[in-house]
Amino acid sequence: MYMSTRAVASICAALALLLPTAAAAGGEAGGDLAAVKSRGVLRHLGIPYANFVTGSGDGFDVELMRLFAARLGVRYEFVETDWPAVLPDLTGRSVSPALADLESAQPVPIRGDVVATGLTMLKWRASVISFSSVVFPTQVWVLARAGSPVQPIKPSQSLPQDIARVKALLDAHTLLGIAKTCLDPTLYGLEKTKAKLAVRKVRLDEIAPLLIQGEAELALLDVADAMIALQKWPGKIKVIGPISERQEMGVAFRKDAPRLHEAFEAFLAEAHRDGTYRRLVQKYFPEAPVYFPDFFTSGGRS
Amino acid sequence: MAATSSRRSAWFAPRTGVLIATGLALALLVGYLLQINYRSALRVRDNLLAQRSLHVHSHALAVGHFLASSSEDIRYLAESREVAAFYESRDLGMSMQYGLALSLVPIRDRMRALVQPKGETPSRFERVELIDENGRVLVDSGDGEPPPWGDDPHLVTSGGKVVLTSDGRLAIARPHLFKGRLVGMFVAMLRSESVLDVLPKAQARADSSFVILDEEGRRYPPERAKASGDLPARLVTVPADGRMVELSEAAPGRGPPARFLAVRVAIPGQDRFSLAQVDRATDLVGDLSPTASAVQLAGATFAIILALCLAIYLNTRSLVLQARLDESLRREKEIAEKRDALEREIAERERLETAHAVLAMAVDQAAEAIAVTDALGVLEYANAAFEGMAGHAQLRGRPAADLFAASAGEARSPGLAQALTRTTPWKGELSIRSSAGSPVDAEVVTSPVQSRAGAIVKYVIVARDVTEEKRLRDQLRHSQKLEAIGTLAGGVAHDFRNLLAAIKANAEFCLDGMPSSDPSREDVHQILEAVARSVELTRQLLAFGRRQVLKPETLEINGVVASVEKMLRRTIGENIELTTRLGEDLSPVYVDRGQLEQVLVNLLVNARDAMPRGGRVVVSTEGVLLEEEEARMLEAPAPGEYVKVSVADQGIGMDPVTRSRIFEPFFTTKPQGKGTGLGLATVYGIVQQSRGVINVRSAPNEGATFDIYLPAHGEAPPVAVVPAPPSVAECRIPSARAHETVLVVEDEAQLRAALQRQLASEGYHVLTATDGRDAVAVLQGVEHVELLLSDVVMPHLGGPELARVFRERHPNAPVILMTGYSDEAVARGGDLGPSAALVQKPYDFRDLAQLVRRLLDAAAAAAPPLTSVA
Repeated sequence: MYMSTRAVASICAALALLLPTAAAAGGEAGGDLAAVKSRGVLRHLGIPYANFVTGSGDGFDVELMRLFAARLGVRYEFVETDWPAVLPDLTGRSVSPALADLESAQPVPIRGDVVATGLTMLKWRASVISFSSVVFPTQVWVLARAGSPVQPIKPSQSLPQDIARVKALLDAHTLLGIAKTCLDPTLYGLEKTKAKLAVRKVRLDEIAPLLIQGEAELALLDVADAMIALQKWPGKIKVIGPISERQEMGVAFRKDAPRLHEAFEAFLAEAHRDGTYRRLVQKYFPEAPVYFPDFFTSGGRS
Repeated sequence: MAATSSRRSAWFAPRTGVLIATGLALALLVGYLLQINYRSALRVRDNLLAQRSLHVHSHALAVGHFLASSSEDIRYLAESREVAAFYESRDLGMSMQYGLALSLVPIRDRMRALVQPKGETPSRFERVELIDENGRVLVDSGDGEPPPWGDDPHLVTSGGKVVLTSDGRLAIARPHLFKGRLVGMFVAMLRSESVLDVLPKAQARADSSFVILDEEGRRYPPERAKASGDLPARLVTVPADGRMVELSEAAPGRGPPARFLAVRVAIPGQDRFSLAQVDRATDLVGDLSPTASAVQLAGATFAIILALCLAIYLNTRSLVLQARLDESLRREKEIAEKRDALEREIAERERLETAHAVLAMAVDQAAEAIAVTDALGVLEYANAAFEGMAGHAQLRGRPAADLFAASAGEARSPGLAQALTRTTPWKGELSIRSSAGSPVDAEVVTSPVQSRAGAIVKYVIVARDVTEEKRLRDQLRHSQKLEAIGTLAGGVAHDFRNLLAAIKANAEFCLDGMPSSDPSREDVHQILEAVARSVELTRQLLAFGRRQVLKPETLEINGVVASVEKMLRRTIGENIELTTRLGEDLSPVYVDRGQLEQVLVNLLVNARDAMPRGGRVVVSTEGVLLEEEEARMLEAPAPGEYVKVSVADQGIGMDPVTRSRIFEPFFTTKPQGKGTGLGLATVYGIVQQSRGVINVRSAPNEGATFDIYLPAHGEAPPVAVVPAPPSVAECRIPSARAHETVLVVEDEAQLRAALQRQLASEGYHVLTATDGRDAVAVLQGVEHVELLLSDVVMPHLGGPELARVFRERHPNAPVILMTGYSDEAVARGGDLGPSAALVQKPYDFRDLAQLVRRLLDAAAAAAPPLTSVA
């Protein structure tokens, strides 16, 4: 999984070099920086998820995009979407993990200029969109109900070894996941295990309640949501162990919007320098530096 | 001084007694007050101690509340959901790496909220930790390495109570149980500042200390205990029931033991702790022993007596010093007054010296000559002007009268000598003879100076040089005399000419009526010759009176001299040499040539007559530039450029008296019949009328030189030179018929009658009038008059004015004005047109008749033909 992410990043870098040339040859597309400034509004595609987009008008990514819009000198506008539609709403194509091809996908209306909603930088996503630098680290864990016979692993000094131990515990147990998201079990090869995969179209914050209610014995959940769930239902759920390498979240742009992408990179670098980024982390994910100390002590560069 | 000392001694004795008596009274009073104070202090101490006990109780209650409240904060933390979540997760077997560590983050946040509360709420806690059952720190509110509280025996054995740690700090140690098992312990270290804040600040002094004691006698805070000094070690033995207990503790060295008053009260809710307040007994209530009071009384009495002695000494010393100071001030005042008087005197002297110097300077430099003599008239002082006037620099010691003379030739002025004996001022005009020899006319004023006794001690002489003033006065007088003579001569000549005109008219009329064989014709001719000589005489008089007719023109004066030189040689005869010295580049002059020639002839004749035995006459010309002073001396009309003509002879010369009269008409030094006395008068008149000036230089036997200054051309004379009217001789026309009416106006009756008769004989119809006003009346009575013949100068209405009236009625009729002068007609008549003429008296009637005829004919030719006069 770690190697795959590196490969995706290489592909993105290559595309980033090629896309400006293409944009220059074909003229600036409708979603790039000039168009945003021309319209006077930055449309932020987001999904209520953990403290990235709380659904109450704030959140880590909401506040970050508000500051970005102010930096561009345009109005901020939040456009709510869901996980299946988030990339089609950005790219104007009905792309999916199964059809990660912009040319072949059916056209759909473009609803936003940027996706910032704790979006994990997955490989297939990187093939259809441009990801920014890493904005936030994450990881996917396997959780179980408190009464589950599956017991948390004893951590070793090796993450792959811990992942293998977790996978070994999944046999014959029902595992809850969400398709087309970072909680899609197929992203982690769980279809190859003996676990009973229960892929639902639910929101991320519904995973823990479903788990407690006995919909499944196990569930996939990212670190951010797991933290919230442990606080909400202490003694009801437990973390078995990791199922993924450390993942990275980023802000997504259309591939034909290199100027907007560049502008965000500049803005993000400035946010790291002036302390804005640290302030947002402390506000929305104060525990994150505890679990990912190396990321946050390195200034967000993994 | 002696009297002052005695007064002070008299005043001093009773005052000292009063002071001593007052001192004793004060000592008694102080003793009584000390006694009262001692008793009052005892009561105050008792009250204070009782109050102190209550205070300690109340503060113990506050401390107990603070500690209880702090314990409650830790209990809330321990029972929080975050702590429960952590232990639930841990109980589910979760690892720290995967999930459990994240559960500690909210606990840490709550701990930090206790240590760093939001807003202005003061923090009670310095640090909060959660220690697991193995003594390891799970979560800590602070950064950095946590303190090893898990090893502190006092904390471990606290049983959840407030404890005093091994290092003397107050802490709360709360064991945490999960599902009945001891799983950890919360340890919260109280911030010492927050504990001290509970204690009243007013009592938190170094000499009055609150301390918290635990059951082992350890004190908190350590710094408070240290500041309170040597707290008795037996403080813990004081019962914790609020009673005041006095403790004593041996002081280091040989000093008396220290006494303390202590109160101890158990802190409610904290059975391990009590609150004590300790004060030094002397600080709180002082030393209240009776012996101390007696000592204080003796000390106070001694101090009072000592103060009284000191006051008496200082008072005496003050009086002596005050007396010396008064004496010093009085002397200083006297000195200041003398100094002021001296300064005023010096200032007055300086003012007088300045005034004297100014006065002396003014007198020394005055333009007036000022001298001072003694009572005998001997000069003692003379200013610069006086010395300059006298021509001597050293006049002191000389009689003043010797310097002045009443008239030339006198060595001493009797007038001044007499004036310098008078007791009243004297003023007169004297002549002073300077050392240079030239006399100076001075107006002298002498003033006697009297002493206070009335005796004359000095004379002041003030003399003013009036030489120039006198010369100008004489000159003016001479000019006015000549002017008056000229006016008189002109008037006489005018009237005489009227008479001559009448005589001549009648004589000619007689001659015309007499046959050629009549022997009386010769007599009539004699009359006419006498008239002719008289006319010449009157001409000279008119010339002297500057009333003759001039015909000025621009002339080169050298040319005039040259043209008349031959005639002049013939005039002076062969025994006199005539030399001419003509200057070069002379400016032209604007004069009547004939009159100038007349001047030269008259001066040559005068020179000839002055040299009966022959000699030399020099006629010279030169151009001169008269400066203002020179022009004023010569009485020239104005400074400027002049041409000077000089005639110098070697004749007998003239004395001053003769020289001053030579221009008077009829004054002559020649024998009877040799001169008319009008020659030089004529010269004077002509020169004056030509805007020139004549000056004569002569002395007896030194010849005479006449200098004539004529203004260079360009400065043409503005007045007195009139063009000559056409002469009667120029109007000769053939006689013709005479039938016109002629109005003759003449105030001289004889001349009027002669004219009427002559004109009537010519055939004219002659009307007459006695003067201008009469003529106007005549004109109003007749319809037509063809010609007006009128005198110029007449009473009531003059000839020119009459002519204008006449012309209003008869615009084209000719007018003839007759005058005994030369310029009157033109000056007063104005422009009468071409048909007017001026005739000088006496006239030749034949010439007048022809002039009348010519003017009438000319007027008739110019007039339009008469048609009818209705």
